[in-house]
Amino acid sequence: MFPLPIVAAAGFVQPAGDAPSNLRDEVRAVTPNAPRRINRLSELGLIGAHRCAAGRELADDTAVVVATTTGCLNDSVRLLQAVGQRRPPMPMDFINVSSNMTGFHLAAGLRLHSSNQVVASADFAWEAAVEVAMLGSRRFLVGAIEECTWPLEQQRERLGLPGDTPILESSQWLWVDRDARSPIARINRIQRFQDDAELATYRASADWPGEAEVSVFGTNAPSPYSGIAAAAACVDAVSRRSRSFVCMTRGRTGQWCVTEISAA
Amino acid sequence: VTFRVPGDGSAPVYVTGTGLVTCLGSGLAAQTPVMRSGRAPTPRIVDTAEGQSPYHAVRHSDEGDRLYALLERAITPAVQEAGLSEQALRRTALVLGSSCLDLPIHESAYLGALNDGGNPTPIIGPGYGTVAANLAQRFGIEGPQYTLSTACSSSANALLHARLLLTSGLADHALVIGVEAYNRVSVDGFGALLLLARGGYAPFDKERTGLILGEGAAAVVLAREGGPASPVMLYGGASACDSSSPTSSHPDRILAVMQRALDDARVGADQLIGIKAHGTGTASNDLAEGEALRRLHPELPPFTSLKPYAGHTLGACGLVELLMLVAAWRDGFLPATPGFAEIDPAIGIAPATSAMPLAQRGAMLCNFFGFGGNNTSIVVAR
Repeated sequence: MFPLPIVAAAGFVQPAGDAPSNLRDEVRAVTPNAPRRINRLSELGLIGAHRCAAGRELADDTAVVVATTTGCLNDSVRLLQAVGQRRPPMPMDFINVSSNMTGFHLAAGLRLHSSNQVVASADFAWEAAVEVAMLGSRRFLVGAIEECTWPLEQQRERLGLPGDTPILESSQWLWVDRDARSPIARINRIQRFQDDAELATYRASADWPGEAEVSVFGTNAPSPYSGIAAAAACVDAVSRRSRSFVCMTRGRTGQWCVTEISAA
Repeated sequence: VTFRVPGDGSAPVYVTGTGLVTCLGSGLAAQTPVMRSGRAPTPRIVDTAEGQSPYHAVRHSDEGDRLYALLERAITPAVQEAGLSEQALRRTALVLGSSCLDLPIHESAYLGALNDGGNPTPIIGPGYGTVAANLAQRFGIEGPQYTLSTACSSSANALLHARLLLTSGLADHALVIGVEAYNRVSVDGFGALLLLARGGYAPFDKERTGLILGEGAAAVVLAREGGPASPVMLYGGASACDSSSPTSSHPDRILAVMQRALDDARVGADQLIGIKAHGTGTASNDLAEGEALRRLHPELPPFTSLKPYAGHTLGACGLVELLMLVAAWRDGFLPATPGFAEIDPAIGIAPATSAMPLAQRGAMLCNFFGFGGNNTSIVVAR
């Protein structure tokens, strides 16, 4: 299963302001055939994934796998409000609430016919998405996307965050191809550990280079985005051509998931 | 069917425990009398934003949360039947496929607060992975958790991923779950798309008018090894993106995914003893699926749609309908498609119109398609 050769990496991240920013121009900047009437999650997904593809042609059997923690939150909120007001929902809100619509629009734009999956996991959404992708496909775009809803104070209430916590919108992508001739990096391992002791035993014997960068997430009160933070860290490390990078994420029940990446 | 050698990396996996709850009742045996009769049960009538609609609801005690009550009724018997030790269960992977996820809970909380005169924030504590995490805690599962949400193909895709976890050696067992609980968002949403049936449910019929929704939950334990007692084996499958339309599938892409599933299972179309169609009863699905089925093989085996018996259970239908099929198969018949009366000339083929004898050994193809161009076919065998 490993290593997984990485062809490209790219991300898009922006702090959530007092009002939603218009992402339409960003979408148009990365793809000439920007689909209309898409939701915010799909806009974020298209921006990140097209930056990763960077205009290159992907094999049509490239899968699209999206990790998300909170998914199509804006559509879900609007649909519930419509129910509360006893009025029919907007049809596009109901269509767009299928979170695999992001993969659909990507597949349509890049002319892909392979699998299109949306994967979540309470603590390890990013790692779970990579696992789903690597087991099902030889080549894939795997991304982690989170959107914000407004007003911000409601979003903080929704996520259980203190009143001044900054919120980010993010779309982080890797393009993996097992047949890549000149990958820029490789995922060498994704491994889960039941607890601190099991992880410590592994670390004692792990063959990590001395200069390995290590990022650790979720060790304190876990943010709803701790799994997605792992995606951002991995994409950043690949983009910087880090020689050796280890991402360690701790789940709420004390489990760990470790991702090891090295430059090609 | 040529049975492959387990352990070759693409081998079949075995269902070793099952649990199912639909409007027909709990357990596989509860499903068969109505399916043998060939007559759809009478749905309840629920309110929608624009009037009323039939809905196949599960009988429920109204005590406690509906979503988790359904899940409990499906998972507990599956785990017990599989006979996993506490230690084995702890290492089991949990793979959930659902399109509603915990939306019914958020909907109930939001509407309840509104009715109390409040001004609530909708969806407190969102998390697509929350249901799986809660189930893992409830059943003592510490293996990896995956939630797949790909509209109406969700739990079929969960099955395929679980199979890969097992055949790749990443897990010894997997608990695969599909669930759809009543929620007003889905009923109003399909109503807004004009996809709800205006009369009875009649997949593939010339006069079909749309779908009737339903709720249900299903769970299976998958293992790399099984015995003759295994009710069914998952032989293979495929999932592919059809980017021609976000809400309907193209016959070419349906044909392609069925063929890929058969190739993955190393089963020829001529070896199939039957097909469980997706058969939503909508104009576009049945037209596209019917054309693809017609082109799959000149001598098409009997096919049917099970949705009139329990409603369209959306993201749960992959597992719910698989177990309904297994229930009938175990009893030696392929259920008829209720409501079908007249061939649609544009489709040109007819589903089973009465319960048909089904050989105990053989392979069947099952189709599941979802919004977002998500087409999934699986091949199962007994």
